[in-house]
Amino acid sequence: MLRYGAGKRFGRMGLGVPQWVLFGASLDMDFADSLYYSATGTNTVPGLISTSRASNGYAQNLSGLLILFGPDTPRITNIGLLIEMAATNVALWCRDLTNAVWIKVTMTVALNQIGADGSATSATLLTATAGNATCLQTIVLGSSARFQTAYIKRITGSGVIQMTTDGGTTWTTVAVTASYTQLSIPTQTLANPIIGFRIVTNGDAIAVDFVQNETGAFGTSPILTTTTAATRAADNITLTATSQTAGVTAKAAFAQTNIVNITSSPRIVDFAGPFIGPQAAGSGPAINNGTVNVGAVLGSGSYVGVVKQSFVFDGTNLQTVGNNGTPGTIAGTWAALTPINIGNRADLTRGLNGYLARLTFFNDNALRPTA
Amino acid sequence: MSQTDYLFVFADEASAKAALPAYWSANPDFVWDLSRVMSPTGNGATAPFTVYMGTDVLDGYPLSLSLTAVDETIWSIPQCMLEGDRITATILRTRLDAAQMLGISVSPVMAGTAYIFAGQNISLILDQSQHPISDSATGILDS
Repeated sequence: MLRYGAGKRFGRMGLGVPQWVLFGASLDMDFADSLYYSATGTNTVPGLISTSRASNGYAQNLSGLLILFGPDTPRITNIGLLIEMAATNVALWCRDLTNAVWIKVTMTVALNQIGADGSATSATLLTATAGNATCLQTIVLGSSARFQTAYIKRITGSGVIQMTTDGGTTWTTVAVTASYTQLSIPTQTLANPIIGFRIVTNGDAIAVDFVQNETGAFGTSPILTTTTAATRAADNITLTATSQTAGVTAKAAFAQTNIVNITSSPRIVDFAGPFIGPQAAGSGPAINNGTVNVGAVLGSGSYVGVVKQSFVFDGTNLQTVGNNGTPGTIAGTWAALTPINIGNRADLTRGLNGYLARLTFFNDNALRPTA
Repeated sequence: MSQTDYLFVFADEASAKAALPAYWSANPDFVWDLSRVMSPTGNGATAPFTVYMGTDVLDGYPLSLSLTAVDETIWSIPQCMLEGDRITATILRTRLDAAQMLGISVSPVMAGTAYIFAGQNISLILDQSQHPISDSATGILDS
């Protein structure tokens, strides 16, 4: 379980404010621990955030289990609130490799495995009946950068397991373990990808679930397909009118993120222009008032992973710090801005692509600890 | 929660933008509401939304809009071809004729849908006695 040192040391007591709440918080949303506080008295997820996402979506918990969420439902697990941009999976029958779209050579298949979401007989067992057995699907598609992922776990044997995007011209070995892991191979730009698997050793067997082929340079959460490609809509997370009140008067914020992949200037909070979030390169946190930008180098780790970060926007100064590094500070004005979007920009093209474990707004201008 | 899916076939992007002003933004650049809309332009990691009649790609500017409830204003847009209830996987209303209904399919679908937008033969789930089919409103499908 993820824990927040700042929360434990600086929690406040008395006056009806729960002890877990960070000191001075006007709004504290600890998604990972399912704890919510607002000075207005609202302490439920629907009362604090609104969610628009027209599709289903999956999120992972700390045990690695995938959990399915229906449309317009925030994807909150004990890792945090998952916020992603829209994506399309063009790999058909992504869980059922017994379907005829998958061409098997010296490979037997059976839809008899527990899936990465814990569902019975939902994932596929692939067993090699000779060396270099393959299971491939051809996708009719124009040229684009393709990223290939699949949840795989080893069932039998210890031989090499490989994946391809180009019909086997290139085979890339993936590190399969006894537990489901979302494994990937490097992006390839090509038309009509031919995706699939090769089991090098006769008799070896693997379980495969949620095969995914999507545009770009990184994988996202699973998108279920059968007969047709499917799109996961973007997560549009906004503060409700109640919680926006806290954001308007805030002079500081604290966030803990667990980002999977850094894209161009992802947002933690977007204030309809000004924003707080990772620097474009993902080296550390940044705060931008629409005119000037200040960033900071993380004290430890990288931005892909767990990062604690703090921001100050007190009207005249902008400050940020991450993972107990050296703060970045610059003079810059900050109006009383209404936070519009959480984990994305309003046009939904700057998605966090990861989990927001905790987000807190404060009415004072103290830079909170990020150790 | 209910989910209602609408399928449109507009003549072009300008017509679509004019008919659905609440579902796109222009700041900083034009983009559809990616939490609710699939369009032919796609965006980033999304595939272009395409409507097929048989194996032919339909002309025009197809668009899918998903809402949390039936919206009479949206349905009243003449280019709206289908209105479907995702939970029950049924077509609520259509402006397609019977032959068109037999041939239409779309790709991609919104993840979690399991009916007409899944490339199935929608005549199998359309109860025409309860939901009469009218003629095409736009003419695009007739060409």
